[in-house]
Amino acid sequence: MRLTRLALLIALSTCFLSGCPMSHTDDAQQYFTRQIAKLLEGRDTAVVDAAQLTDFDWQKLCFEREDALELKFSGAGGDKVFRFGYEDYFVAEPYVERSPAERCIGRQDKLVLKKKYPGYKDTVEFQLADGAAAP
Amino acid sequence: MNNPLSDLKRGIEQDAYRYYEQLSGQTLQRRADGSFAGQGHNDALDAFRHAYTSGRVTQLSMDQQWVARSYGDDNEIGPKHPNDPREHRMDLWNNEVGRRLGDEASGKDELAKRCYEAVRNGTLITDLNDARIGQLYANDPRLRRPQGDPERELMTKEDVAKVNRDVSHALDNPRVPFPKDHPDRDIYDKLRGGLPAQVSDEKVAEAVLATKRAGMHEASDIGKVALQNDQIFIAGRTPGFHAQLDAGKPAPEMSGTVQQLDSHNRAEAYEQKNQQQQQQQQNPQYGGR
Repeated sequence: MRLTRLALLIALSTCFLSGCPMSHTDDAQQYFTRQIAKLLEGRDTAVVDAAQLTDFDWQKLCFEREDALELKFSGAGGDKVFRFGYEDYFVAEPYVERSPAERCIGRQDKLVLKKKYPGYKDTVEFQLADGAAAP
Repeated sequence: MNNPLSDLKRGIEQDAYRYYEQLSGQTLQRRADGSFAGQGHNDALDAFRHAYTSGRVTQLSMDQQWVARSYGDDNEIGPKHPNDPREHRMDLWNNEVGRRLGDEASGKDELAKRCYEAVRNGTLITDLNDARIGQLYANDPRLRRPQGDPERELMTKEDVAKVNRDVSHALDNPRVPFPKDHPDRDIYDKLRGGLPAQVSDEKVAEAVLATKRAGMHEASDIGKVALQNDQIFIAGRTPGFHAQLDAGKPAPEMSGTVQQLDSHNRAEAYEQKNQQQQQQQQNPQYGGR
């Protein structure tokens, strides 16, 4: 009981002094969202280095289609998971050509950002650019 | 931690790829870790994967088709699965075939063999241009939305139920094709070629009947064929000859229409014979003696 309270106290203090891991991810996710909007400003598609989308260090980014779209960053600056609704960001099923689903890419790999429904909706689809990420 | 259902799904899909590779002799793409990469989109492998996966879930859920149905349906519903409406229909068709095969087959080896056989014999749909697709929930209002409209690509639970209803009906009542050796086969082929796949073969046969009733007797009598605003228009090469019918109304069974065509042809032949006899009576110099 005592140990549980101590662990809780340490966790709260860490949050208070250096920010909770969750809110840090939220900030990084907000940056990611803003970057994509900026990179797609005035156009329907853009080819970008994956590293351009984040303000933190990472080595590997994996895409998973769970109930939400999950972008899992790992390596270097610690692990982070961004979760998005499919109406905001989308990757196609893994068997669709150029889909990054169930694949991982590195910082230097290129991603295609594409407005999925130009003129209708702001959903952004991620696709692998030519030569990015082996299956 | 991974989602256990996703893991189960991936495991079954890996089996599907392995079986397809064995049965087809094709080498499939693999990841660095040796597992199969996701592949096969709107083709034979896609059809096989859908059927095998649905069949296997049926087997694993002790032949409770509703479990597999719910699992398969969920893969078509909502913003996680926006797709070409034809693709939704192809997937739902292949899922239903897979569930039925899963019920019949004992074990996954037999299921895989039966699914592959279903690819080979055409029971599974392996191509978005398959005419059967056009007959599934054909009056879906989403089909009238323009390309690019997100609403066109979405399906609700109710939409899926309507497609499934038509899939079941089509599988329970296999279609009778227009007879190959029918005297009006040329007219049928001409109309079929001029109308989109969503117009059923039964409707085309009905259009053949309307064409003949409008006085066009041969394929060469037909000028233009078009589908506009749910209406089928057939214009004759000779001005004044034309037929029109409502594509939105359900078509009669093929066998009934073929019977009507045969009866129309008999009546026409009888009339022609009568006319010839009358002419012969009026002009005896041309009729023998």
